[in-house]
Amino acid sequence: MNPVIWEKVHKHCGKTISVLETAGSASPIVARCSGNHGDSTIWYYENNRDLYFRLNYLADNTPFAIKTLKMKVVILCDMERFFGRKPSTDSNEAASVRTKALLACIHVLNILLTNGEVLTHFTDHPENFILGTYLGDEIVFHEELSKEFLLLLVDQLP
Amino acid sequence: MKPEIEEKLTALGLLDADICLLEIEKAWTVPTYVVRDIDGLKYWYCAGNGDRVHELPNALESVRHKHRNARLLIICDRSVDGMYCKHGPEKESIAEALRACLSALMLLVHDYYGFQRYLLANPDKIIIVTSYYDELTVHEGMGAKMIAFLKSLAPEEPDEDE
Repeated sequence: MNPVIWEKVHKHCGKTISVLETAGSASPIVARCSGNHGDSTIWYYENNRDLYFRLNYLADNTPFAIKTLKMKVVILCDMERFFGRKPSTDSNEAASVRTKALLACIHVLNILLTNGEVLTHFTDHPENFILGTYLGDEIVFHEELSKEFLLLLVDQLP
Repeated sequence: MKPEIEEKLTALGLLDADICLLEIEKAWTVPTYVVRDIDGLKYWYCAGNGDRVHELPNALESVRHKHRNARLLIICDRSVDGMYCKHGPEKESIAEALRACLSALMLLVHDYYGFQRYLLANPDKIIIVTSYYDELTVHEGMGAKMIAFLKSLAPEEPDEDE
């Protein structure tokens, strides 16, 4: 992630955040934690058969980050890396890529929510789960999406 | 799929000749999807296995070729291996199964062509079912709600010529 985006994410979401980056269903996923405890970076490769195990490991460790470190969780997708090149902005290509990038973010969120504690936290505080897509230096935060996602599921539950 | 579940689906008229069945056999730890039509033909897909998951839409489209007005039944068994909440509270378990169904649907509507376009234009054709051993829950209207959510992510409406 370039420094401009990193700074914008911090400015928008606060200093103590847990950042997950995805580049889609067959591309690397990066997990980053950033906060007072220092920065760390872990790499995940979805082409690797172990990815789901590793993401589940991440899901199991996320409650620690959320509860102990009071972190928000930010899930980002780099549209250029996701698409393989910079999408054209003079057609609807960029818009289409952004949609697919959002699907990739929701996919990661879906896996995180397999952890019961994360799910409970998400149900209580969907606003702490922030989805974002970026292209170059421009980032869009999809503020309402987490709540919409929660509403989609909530009235189906007993 | 367990025979008891198959019987119940048949009794509900959900295993008619126009059904494309997408069964989620493992939800998260290397998800596995089974596609079959009423003739019992099976295709196996493993999302953890590189690109094969991208073949899923084509497999469903090939089933639909035989049934122009096909419905899609997505079923996830909460007791299958790989479900994290299989021993957890019912609420979490159902939520997880529904999210697995949504993930499968996301894979299908990732690119708007063929079956995907058909589904986006005909959300009522999608039936979401979760099961737990021999219990069956049909989530009425859930397919349409999931499609509405996925459509809300897209800035442009897909063509509805299918």
